Amino acid sequence: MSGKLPERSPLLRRHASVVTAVVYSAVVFLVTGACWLFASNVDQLFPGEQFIQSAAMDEWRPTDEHLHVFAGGFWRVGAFWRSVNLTVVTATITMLIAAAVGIPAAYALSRYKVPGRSIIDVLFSSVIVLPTASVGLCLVILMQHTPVLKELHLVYSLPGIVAVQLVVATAMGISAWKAAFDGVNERFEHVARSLGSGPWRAFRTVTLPCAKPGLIAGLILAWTRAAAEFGGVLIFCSTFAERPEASFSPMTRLLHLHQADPLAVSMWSQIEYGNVEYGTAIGFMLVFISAASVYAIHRLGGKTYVW
Amino acid sequence: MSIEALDTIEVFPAEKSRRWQAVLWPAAAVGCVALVLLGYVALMAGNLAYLGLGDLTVFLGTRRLWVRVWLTVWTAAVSTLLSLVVGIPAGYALSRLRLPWPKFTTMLIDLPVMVPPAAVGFFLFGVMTRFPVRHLCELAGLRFGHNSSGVVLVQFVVTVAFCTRLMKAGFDAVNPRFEQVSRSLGASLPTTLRRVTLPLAKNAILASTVIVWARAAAEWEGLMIFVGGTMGRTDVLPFSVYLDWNGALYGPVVTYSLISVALAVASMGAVRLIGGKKYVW
Amino acid sequence: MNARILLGTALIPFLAAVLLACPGCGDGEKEMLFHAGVGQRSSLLDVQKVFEERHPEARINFSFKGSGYFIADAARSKEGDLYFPGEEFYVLQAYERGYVQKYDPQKDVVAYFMVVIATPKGNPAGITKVEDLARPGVRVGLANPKAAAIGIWCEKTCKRAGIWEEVQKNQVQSAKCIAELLTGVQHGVVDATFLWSSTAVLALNDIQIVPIEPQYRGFVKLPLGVTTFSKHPELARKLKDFILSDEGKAIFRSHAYFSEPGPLDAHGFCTDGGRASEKDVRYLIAAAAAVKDHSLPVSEETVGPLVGEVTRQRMTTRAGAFEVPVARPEADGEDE
Repeated sequence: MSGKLPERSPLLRRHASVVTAVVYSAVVFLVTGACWLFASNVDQLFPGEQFIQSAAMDEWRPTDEHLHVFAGGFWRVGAFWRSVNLTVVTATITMLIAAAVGIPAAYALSRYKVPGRSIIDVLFSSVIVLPTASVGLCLVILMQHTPVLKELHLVYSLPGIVAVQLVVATAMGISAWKAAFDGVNERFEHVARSLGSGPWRAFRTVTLPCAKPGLIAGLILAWTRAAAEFGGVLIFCSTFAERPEASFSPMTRLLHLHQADPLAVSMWSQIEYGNVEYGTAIGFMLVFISAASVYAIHRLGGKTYVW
Repeated sequence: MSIEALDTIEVFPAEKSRRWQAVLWPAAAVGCVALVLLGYVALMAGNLAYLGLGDLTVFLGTRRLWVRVWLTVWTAAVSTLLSLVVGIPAGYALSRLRLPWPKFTTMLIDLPVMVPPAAVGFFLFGVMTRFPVRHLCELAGLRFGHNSSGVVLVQFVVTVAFCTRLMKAGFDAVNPRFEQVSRSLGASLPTTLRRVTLPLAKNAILASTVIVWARAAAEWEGLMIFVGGTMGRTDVLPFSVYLDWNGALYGPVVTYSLISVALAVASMGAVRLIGGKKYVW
Repeated sequence: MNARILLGTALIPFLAAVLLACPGCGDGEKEMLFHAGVGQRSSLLDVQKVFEERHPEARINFSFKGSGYFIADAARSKEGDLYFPGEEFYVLQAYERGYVQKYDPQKDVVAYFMVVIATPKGNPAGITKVEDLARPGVRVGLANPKAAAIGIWCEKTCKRAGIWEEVQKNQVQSAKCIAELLTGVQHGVVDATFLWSSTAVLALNDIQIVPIEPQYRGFVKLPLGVTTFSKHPELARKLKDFILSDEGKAIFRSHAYFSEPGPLDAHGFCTDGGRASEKDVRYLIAAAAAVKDHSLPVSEETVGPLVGEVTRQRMTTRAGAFEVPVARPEADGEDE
């Protein structure tokens, strides 16, 4: 065969560019869609006339008047910063617990021949696509109808937030960490073992450093998923923002975790009350937090899909 | 030293304790698996025990339940189809082509996956009620609100970026050299796609479709904020869990939860069977 | 062959657009949006069944939420045909802003709620009267008055009994709607809470009802209004007339709403020592006992209008059996 490639006829060339056009337009659709989704709501940050008027007529809400300014004046509202504080603190605690249990579990699933491994894999990954309402509900029933767990008084309490977030964050984390461990060649550990290391030492000095980017990506994923938990927290813990201050322990008040809801719940609650500007500001704060997570994961070269 | 004395020297003195230590870590790791497994199984078994098989049979016999299950299944299917229409080309582009400002673009595409769906639903409500989308919809006679179109729209918006990412992973697994060889042998781009790339990525695409379907079928937070907590034509299964919980009807609610669990496990089992995780060669 | 591929790829978006457009087109059905408090859910679903049978072109969508959210929802979306919060206070609020049409305090009242105390099964904290809620160590669930109508009455009842500060110290839950209070009691998260009689009746398997002493017993007016921005005003008025008719009111009575509370003072509390409502309270207690103990007789004499409710709840251990005979006054015991 001669080195000359057959010439592409004009017809075929046009079809090639059609395909490229389709492909590019799909990307453009996604990018513009994402931009427009967030940009078009910026005008909701500015107070609308009818809200100001109706708020003035509302005898329930004289204290909410100050929220009908640009972005609800969120920087002045103490509850907003307490919400941020609560979200960050609970998500971090959840991430740490999930890592403490999940990283060893992911390692075992990745390396050892655990009986029923494929079924366990299926079960863990299906927790991620479970509706959050079901998760919250099942947790309530489990907590209240099991004698030991009932005494923990987790339902409708602040530690309950961590419990709900833990359910999905662990599953998500295990998925990511297992993928990270799968990406480390087993031979490195075998060589370390053959040179005299115990399994723990081989794990600590060989596997962990190799898998570190994937592990950190998994940590960030678990953290973000925990911070974004809305449905489960709503059903399991209800809201905290309107509870009297005295019902929170002094330690909670010291840490500024009292009378605040996680950000997603707070956003929904404020929109229901009609404080649209404030709610939109909280929404944008959530977007900002998620964008920071996505950026962090990308910097680590990790993946945001965990299959 | 005599030869007999040599026999008594311990060559590896710490062997016994090291063996015990050597088991500790694997045991702990497997123990963690067992702990997490116990948690999830207890969650589901506890609810089944709470409901009782008798009640379960009663509630599974109600027409209301199956109307909602069917609504969930078909709306998730339609929105998955739409996500595929956008996701497969976009995934291919992300995988093979060099996009302008790649870091910013990929971050923007990843964002809707990580933002809480409640926020996405709220922002979507804003998009649909403002210029220009509202006027375009009015012109085209489309109405997205308290109807199944609204459900499909919310599910689509929440899953399209997710689908793109999964498709990108699928196409990443296909070695581009195959395509390059095919092009060098004279096939055009569409033919290469049709006969080389897509068949090689077939398993990944199928598995990703099932995952996207499962994610769409579990979407309700965005729907709740978009539609506004109304009972009516938009009662997909996860949303009905919230609505009936609001009415303190624990029997149907736990039944819906159990069915959602069954759907999720079935989807992930199907993904495992399709074997989308395996590489092409 | 390439043309076929192109046609094939173009077909999918076309199909999708068709699929999307069809449900979005007008159906010829008149869809009404009914804003109602969560406490009215059970009876309104029965009302919906009967009304949609009689008027096949009508379709009712319900928006159940805490009564305090109605104003915000109306202001945001300006959608809705009927307005049915759990307390007269909210209707007056809406009328002031021009969201609801003229409301007649005599004729437009559908029924009355009675406030009762509910405890988990077995009454672990031994609550027998209102003052028991002030005991230290009792976990009490309250609602936010800004969000749910029951919140207003929690506060009113406690203040009248003079125990409001102590109860607030015992508060562990701040509910946004009455169903959350019911959930708390059903699962034993709280030891006692206030509920409407009609809400307490939903979960008789899991809770115990403690009637409030007559001097603290409150009755809540339930008015119904048609909104000013209704898209189907005649149909909405027909629905309102149906609910206010004898048949509609009978449906409400069968879900433990009260129609004759007797003389009330300006705040809505009982002034006749509970004489007028005594029979209905007796029916309520008997129904609560009959659901848990299947050997107790269930009839018009023992549980009054709650026969349908008790029969339904005996069918399952957990709340929520549907597709059950609607208890109409002349058609008792008729199966669907």
